[in-house]
Amino acid sequence: MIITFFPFVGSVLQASLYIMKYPYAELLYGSNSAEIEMKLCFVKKDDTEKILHAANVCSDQIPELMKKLFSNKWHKFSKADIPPVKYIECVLRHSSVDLAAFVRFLAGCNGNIDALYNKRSREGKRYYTYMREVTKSYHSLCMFARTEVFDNLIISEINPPHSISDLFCKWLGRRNPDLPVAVIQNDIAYIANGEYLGYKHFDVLPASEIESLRSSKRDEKLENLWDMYYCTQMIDNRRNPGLAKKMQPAYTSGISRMAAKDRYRVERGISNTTLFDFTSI
Amino acid sequence: MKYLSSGTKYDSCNQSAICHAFGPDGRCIQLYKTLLTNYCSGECTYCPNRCERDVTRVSLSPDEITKITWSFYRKNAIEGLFLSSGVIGEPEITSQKQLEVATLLRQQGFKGYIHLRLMPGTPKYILDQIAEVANKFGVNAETTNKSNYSEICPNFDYQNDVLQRLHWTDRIIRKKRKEFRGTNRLVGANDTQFVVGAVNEPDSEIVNTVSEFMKKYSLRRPYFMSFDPVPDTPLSENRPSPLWREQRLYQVSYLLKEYGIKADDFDVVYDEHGFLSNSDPKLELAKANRDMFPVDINSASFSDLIRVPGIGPISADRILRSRPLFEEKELTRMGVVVGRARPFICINGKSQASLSDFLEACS
Ligand code: SF4
Repeated sequence: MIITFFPFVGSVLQASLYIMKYPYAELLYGSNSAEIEMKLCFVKKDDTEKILHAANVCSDQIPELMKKLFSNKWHKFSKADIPPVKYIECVLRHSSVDLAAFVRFLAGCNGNIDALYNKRSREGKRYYTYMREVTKSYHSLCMFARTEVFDNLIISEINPPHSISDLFCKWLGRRNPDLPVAVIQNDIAYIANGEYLGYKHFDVLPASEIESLRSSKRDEKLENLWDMYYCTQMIDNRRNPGLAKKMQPAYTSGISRMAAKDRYRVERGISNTTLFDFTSI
Repeated sequence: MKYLSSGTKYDSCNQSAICHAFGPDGRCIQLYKTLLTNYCSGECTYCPNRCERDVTRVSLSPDEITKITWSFYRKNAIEGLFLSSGVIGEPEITSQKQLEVATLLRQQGFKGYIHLRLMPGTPKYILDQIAEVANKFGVNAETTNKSNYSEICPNFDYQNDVLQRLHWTDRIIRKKRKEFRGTNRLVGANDTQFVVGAVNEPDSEIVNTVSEFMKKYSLRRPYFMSFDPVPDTPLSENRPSPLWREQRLYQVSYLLKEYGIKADDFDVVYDEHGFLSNSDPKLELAKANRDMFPVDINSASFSDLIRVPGIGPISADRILRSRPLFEEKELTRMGVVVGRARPFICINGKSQASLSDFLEACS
């Protein structure tokens, strides 16, 4: 038997329930039906092999699936950790996750929701780490990604290690509900508040379509203004490179040019010498 | 902009969740912090903006402040605005101007965070109006009692201009929290800031005041700023307060708030003058209460677990949910700093180091 599923929370939960019932079944996933069909052509032994498809469900049906998988206590997780549905979503977005193994892990929790959080097993620890890495990566984007502001559009170009560009785009859209927001990753553009441009509220387009929408640039002097502001917050005798580097680790420089400049100052401090000092010698 | 933002660099105000940059001193930058003006009729003895001091005086108009705030916000470089000010004639006029800026931003559709640091003596009707537009607002207490306050802020009255305002702010916040329950409007908790070391108040006095404010005015988080002498002020010859003092006070305030430890419990860790030493107050507290340890990981209550150095509320919660535990490795996975916790814990009756061994090693 083959159980097929999509990399979405509802489908993964459904697949975990199936695998509890048929533990020896093979697992196969694809991002859409066409991909699954194509993979099945390679994997299926013959036409008699049974295929069970774990369809995705809408978000209000997820609690029901969680209840089946983890019993009534599924929402009793620690306040300090992120909720289990979010946990699962984060793991699914991790670039190294083996989805089939994750489905088996969920089924192997035997209804114990704590197994996701308490890191007692090697696998539990791995998925917990994945969840933390994805949330960290998302938070880093929210913190250090910068935008280019145009009259009719806000654009941010990013390249995160996990599949979180859509999440970041929605977050930027909520922050700026009065403007369309485009988040570009390689040749894909995610759009939030797309109705202002005649698209859906949240949409995915080829990046080239956004290029044509860029109007005259409006924020050229802004980076200099930020640099000036940043320097005003420095208290010279309190420089603490160790703490500052811990708070803004080196990898954040790769997120945006402005973050890279801030990070440079974290490392080197702020120079007191200005061009004016030079000319007035 | 440069002058007025520099004027706020000693103000701590971070509250919302996302930091967008960190200064070279490690402090988070998440708001555009500025003074409305550095003109001031006040004579606070530690302040660079006191009226008698010879400094370049400048102001920003509400339009200019809103424009900068919007630009940084759109750029995703800040979460909002922190606005303080020198006193322009009367506290009432100054607060009205601060209110004007916040109102203008909201009228323009600004959804970010607005924190106003108000003047001592701001009238109640303005506090009410400010609560409509700002997420957070408050008055700085600066020190622990009336006589200390009149020594450093001679133009204001501690009881009336500070404590009364803290009380009103608390009442307004409670009302607003009820009003905005279920919406996504953020209503920040009461906050205040202390200048540590400008007068000679001992740490014990600061800790007791913080604890009292937590009870009386629902203070959630005090801010501490170490005194740093400013040239041409009456305190210019005083010694700066050591930076670690500020850090230790933050740790104690965290223990008061998040661990439910009482202010009196710290009496055993102060020196004879009432000052904290430069070491982790939780460790000092544990060392002073040897009879409470070791606690058994598999049977101790939550409140006993969080008293152990190296175990915080999150790891204590994980321990409770993962019992029974058999070895230290499992504790490490739960976020316990085992090296610190080891002398204070045992697992199923077995401990790997006795507390006295540890104390000897420390001494
Ligand atoms: S009122 Fe504020 S700005 Fe004026 S002197 Fe006192 S602390 Fe400084």
